[in-house]
Amino acid sequence: MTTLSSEQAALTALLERNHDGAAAWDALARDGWLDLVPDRSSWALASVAATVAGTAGVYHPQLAVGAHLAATAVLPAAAPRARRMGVVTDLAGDGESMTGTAWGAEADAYVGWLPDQRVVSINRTDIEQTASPMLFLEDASVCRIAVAGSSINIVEGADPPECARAQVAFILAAEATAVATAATSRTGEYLAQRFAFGRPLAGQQVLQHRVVDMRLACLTGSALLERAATEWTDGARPRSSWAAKLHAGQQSVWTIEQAIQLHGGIGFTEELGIASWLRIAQRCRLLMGGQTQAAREVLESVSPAITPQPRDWALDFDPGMG
Amino acid sequence: MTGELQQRALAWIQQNQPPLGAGAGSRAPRSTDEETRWRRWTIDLHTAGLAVPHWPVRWGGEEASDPQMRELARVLRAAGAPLPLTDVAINLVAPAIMAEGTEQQQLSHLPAIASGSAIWTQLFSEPSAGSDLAALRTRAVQRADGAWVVTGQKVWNTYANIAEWGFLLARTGTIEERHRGLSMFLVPMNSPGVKIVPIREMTGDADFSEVFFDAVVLEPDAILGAPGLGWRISMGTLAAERLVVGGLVLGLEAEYQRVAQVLRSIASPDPELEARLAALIAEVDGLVWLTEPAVGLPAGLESAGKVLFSELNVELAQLSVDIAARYPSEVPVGLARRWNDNYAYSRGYTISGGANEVLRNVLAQRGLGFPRT
Repeated sequence: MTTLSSEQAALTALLERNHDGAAAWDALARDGWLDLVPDRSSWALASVAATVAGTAGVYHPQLAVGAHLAATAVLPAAAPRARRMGVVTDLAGDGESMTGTAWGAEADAYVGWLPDQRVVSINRTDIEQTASPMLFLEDASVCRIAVAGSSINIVEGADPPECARAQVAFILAAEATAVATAATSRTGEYLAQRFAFGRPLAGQQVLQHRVVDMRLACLTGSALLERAATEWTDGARPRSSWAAKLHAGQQSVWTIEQAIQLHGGIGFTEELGIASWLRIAQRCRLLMGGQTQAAREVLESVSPAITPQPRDWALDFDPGMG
Repeated sequence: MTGELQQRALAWIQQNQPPLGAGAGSRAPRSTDEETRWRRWTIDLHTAGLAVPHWPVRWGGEEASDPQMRELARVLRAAGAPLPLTDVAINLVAPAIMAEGTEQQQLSHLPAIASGSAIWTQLFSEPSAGSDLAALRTRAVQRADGAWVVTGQKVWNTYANIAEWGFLLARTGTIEERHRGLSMFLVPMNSPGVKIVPIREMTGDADFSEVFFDAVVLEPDAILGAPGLGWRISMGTLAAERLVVGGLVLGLEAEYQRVAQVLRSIASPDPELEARLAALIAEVDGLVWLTEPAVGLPAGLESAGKVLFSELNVELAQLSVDIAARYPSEVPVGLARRWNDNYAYSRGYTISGGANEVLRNVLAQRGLGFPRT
C-alpha cells in the first residue's frame, strides 16, 4: 500500500530476519501483528492488516497470515479465537455431512458460512478428512475438508455476512496484489542486470512496455484496496472489496505469469520463488466462489451515485443526423 | 450530493438538457444549426457558474476546490452532458494566460473565456510532429516593426473550424534548437492567410481540422511569455490535457452504470457480457480512485491516467456495441447510435495527447527507472 511504507518496512525487516515460517509466525504474534482486526472502524487498520497479509505472503507463502486476519475480522470481538485461524469457503452439504475449501491448511480453527449465510466455526479436531483440491495450490495453504454437520458451531452476533465475506475478499486481494507488486519489482531488477545480445534486457522497449503494464495492473489493484478500506470507514457497502478481488484474480495472476515469462528459464523454477507467488494469486482467484461470484457481487452493487433526470436516449442522435 | 455547487449543478442540468447529438469528448458540431444550439448551451453553462467555478474570483470564478470540481464533473457526466465547446479554452489556454500572460492579454481573453463566448483551438501537432512535438516546423519570424509572420501547417486541431482564437506553438529559433527554439502565440483565427480544412474521421464527423498558415501576420503582443518559452508553456498545457483526459474517467463511471442498466433489462442473464462488464467496472473504479484529488497518481506515473482511461474507454465502447448488436430490441436506437459513435471516437484517445506507446516509454523511464531505448 503506497501510504503505509513504515508498516511495510517494519514487516519486511521482521520477515527477513525470520526465514523459518514458524519463527516468523511467532515473531508476528509477539509484535502484535496477528491481533489486528481489520474491521469497518478504521481504514488505516484495514490497510495495515492488508499490508501484513501481503508482506507475509511475499516472504512466506505458506504462513496464511491473511487467512488468520480474515477469520479474526469475521468473528466478533467476544468470540473465542484460536492461536492460528483460517477460513472455510464454499461450505456446502446436506447438513449432516459438509465439505468446503479451507484457507490456512494448518489452522487450529476456522470460520465460514453456511449456505444460508450464518457464520460458523469449526475446530481443527472436528475435521474428518482433508485433501488437496488442486495440485498447484497445495503449498498455498489450501485444502479441501470434510466435517460432520454436528461439529459445526453457529457463531451468534457475527458481522453481517455481506460485510464479513467482503473482508475475506479484501484480504485475498491484498495478498495477491502484494505478491504481484513484488513480482513486478523483481522483474524490473532482473531485466536491469541481465545482459543478452550485448546489452541489458531493460533496454528493450518491448520488455519495458510489458513491465509498465504489470505496474499499471498493480497500481489499479492497490487503488481498489485503498478504496475498499475507505468504504469500510465510511460505512458504505464494501463493493470495492469484491472489485479488488475480481481484479486481483485476473490481473495479479496475469502479472505474475508475465514475471515468470520475462525471467526466462529461471522463472520456471521453484528456486526463484515467483511460482509460489503465482499460487497465492491463484488462491485469490479460486476461493470464495471464484471469478464468477466476484463478478456477480460487483454487478449487484452497481447503482448510480447521482440520479439526475434520466435522459431520453430515444431522442438522441437523430437518425437523420447520423 | 451535499455541496451547494453540486446541488446547483443538479438543478441546472434538470432544466437544461444537454444538446442533442453532442457525443462524449471534445466534439465539433456537424452543422450550423448544431453549432448554434451547442454554443447556446455552452454559454448557459457558463452563465450558471458551472464552467469555471474553480477560477479566481477576479476572473469570474468562485475558487471552488478540487473535490468540489470533481463532484460537479460527476453530476454533468452522469447527466450525459458533453464537454462545453470552451473546454480547450478553460483547461489549456486560460491557465497558461493566467500564468504567463501580460495584464493586457489577461484582460483581453480571460473574461471572454469565462463568459463562454470565446472558443479556442490548440495548434500544436503537425504532420511530422505529433507525439514528437519538439520536431515541429511551423515558423514565426519577427519583422523589424515587431510583428510576427507565421508560415506552416498544423493538424488534429479540435474546434478549429468554429474557433475565434488559436493557441499556436511555433518555431522562433532554429530546428537544431529543438524545444528551446519554440514560442507560444495567441492567434485570431480570422487572420488573413489562415486556411482551415476539416478532416473527416472514422466517426464520420469532422471534429479535427488541418490549419495552414500562409505568411500570417500577428501583432507584436501576440506572443505569450518571452520567445523560447513555448515548450515550457506547452508542457504545462499537455500535462493539463492528460489530467483532463484522466478526469474523463468519470464519464466512464457514468457510462458503465448505463450499460449495467441495459444489461439488467435483458430478460435472461448473459454471463459473458456480465463478466466483461464486471471486470471493466473494477478497472474503472480503481482509476476513479487514482484520479480523486486527495489520492493522485504516484510521482513518475502521472501519464498512467491517460493510458488507462483511453484503453478502458475502448473496451467499454466495444462492450456497448456488442450488447446493442446482441440485444437490439433492448437498446433504444438513439443510445445504440451513441454507443456506435463512442466506439469510433474512442480510438482517438489512445493516440491524442501523446500516443499510448510514447507514454509507455515515459512511464518506463520516469516511473520505473528504465534506460532510454
